[in-house]
Amino acid sequence: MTGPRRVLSRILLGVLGLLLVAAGAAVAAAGLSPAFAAAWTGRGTAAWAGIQARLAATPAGTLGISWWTLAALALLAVAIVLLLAWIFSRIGRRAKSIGSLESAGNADAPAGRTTVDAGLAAQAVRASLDGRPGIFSTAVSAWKSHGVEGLRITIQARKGAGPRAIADTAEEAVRGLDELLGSQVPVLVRIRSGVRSASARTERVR
Amino acid sequence: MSAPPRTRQLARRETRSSRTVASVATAVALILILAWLGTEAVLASTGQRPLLASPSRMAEWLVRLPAATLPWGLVAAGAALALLGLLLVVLAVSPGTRPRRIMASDRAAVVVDDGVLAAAVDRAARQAGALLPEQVSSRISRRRVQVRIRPIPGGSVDEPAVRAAVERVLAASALQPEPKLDVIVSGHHGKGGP
Repeated sequence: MTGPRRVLSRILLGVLGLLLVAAGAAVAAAGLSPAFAAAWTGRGTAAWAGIQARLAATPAGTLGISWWTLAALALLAVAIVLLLAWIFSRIGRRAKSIGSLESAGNADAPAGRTTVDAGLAAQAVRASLDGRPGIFSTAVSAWKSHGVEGLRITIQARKGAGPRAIADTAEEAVRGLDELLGSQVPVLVRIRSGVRSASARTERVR
Repeated sequence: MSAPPRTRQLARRETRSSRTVASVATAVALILILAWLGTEAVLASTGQRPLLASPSRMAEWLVRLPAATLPWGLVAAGAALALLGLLLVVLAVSPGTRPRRIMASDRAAVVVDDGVLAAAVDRAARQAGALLPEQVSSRISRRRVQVRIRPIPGGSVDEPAVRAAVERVLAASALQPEPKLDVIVSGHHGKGGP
C-alpha cells in the first residue's frame, strides 16, 4: 500500500463522490424546476432513440446484437476486473515468515533461502520489551504487503513514561532482531496510551 | 546506519486514518452494480427474462423519471444522492490526521500517540516544579502543547524550570509535526519565580 495507491484510493472516492453530487443535483433540479424536468424527458427520449438507432445500424454478424453492446459488455468486464484487482491490492496480509535471506551457495553448501517464522520473531521482540521500564504491554504482529514483510510493534506506555526512552528500548529490541534475522525488515513502532485516547482529538491529562 | 526504505512511509501512514474501508466498500458497490447491468444486457440480447428490468425498461424509466415522480420526492432523492456524494468527496480530500506524531529514529518508523506525550509532559512539569498532580494540566493538540499550572495560594512556581523540563521531553522525542510549547501559570502570567 504505497503512496500512489493511497492517492488512487482518494481519487476513486472523489470522482465517485462528484458524480453522485452531480446526479443528485440534476434529480433535485428536476423536482424544483418544471422546465428542467421537461428538458430532461425531451433530451432523454431523443438520446435513447439515437442509441437504439445506432445499435440497430451496427449488427454483430448474425448474433442479433450490436457491436456497441458487445463493446459495452467488454468495458464492463474490464472495469469489474480492475476493481477486483484494486480491492485485493488493498487487503494487507498477515505474514507467516519474515526476513528471507538468500545464500549464494558454495562448494560445501548448496544455494538456499532462510526464513524465520513470524511467531518466533514476534516472540523475540516481546521477550526483550516486556517488563522494561515505562512499558505496560507489548503486541507484535507481522504483515506483508506487495511482497515485503515487516513487523508492527505496538507498545502500551505506562502513564507519564517518556516516549524517547520507550522508543530507544524498542529500537534496541529491533536491532537485536536484525542480528537474529541477518537482515533489516521494515518495522513500525507505535507507542500508545490507554484505550480512551483512540477517539479523542485533543489529549488531556486530568 | 539509516532506516530501511519504506519506513518513512510506514510512519506517515500510521498518522493518518486509512481510506481503505471506504474505498473498498465503494469498489464492491460499483462491482455489484456493473455486474448487474452486464447481466441484464446479456439476458436482454439473448431474449431471456430480465432479473429486475431490461436495459430498455431502465432507459425508459430514467427518461420518464421527472414526469412519473412527485417533485418533492425528486428533491429528497436528489438531496440524498448529493449528500452521499459529498461524504465521499470529504473523505477524499480531508487530510484525516490522527492524534499521533512521528518520532525521529534511525532504524524503525516510530509513531507516538499524543496521549502518551501529554502524560510525559505532565509528569516532567510536575517533577520539575515539585507540583501536585492537581496543580498541573497538560493538553496537546496538533500544533501546541499547553501546560497549565495553578500555584497553591501563597506558593510560587519555578516556571523556567518547568519549561526547561518539558522542552527536554519534547526535544528528546524529535517530533514531527513539532508542537509549540505554552506554559501558563494561572493567576499571574509570566515569570513566577521567587
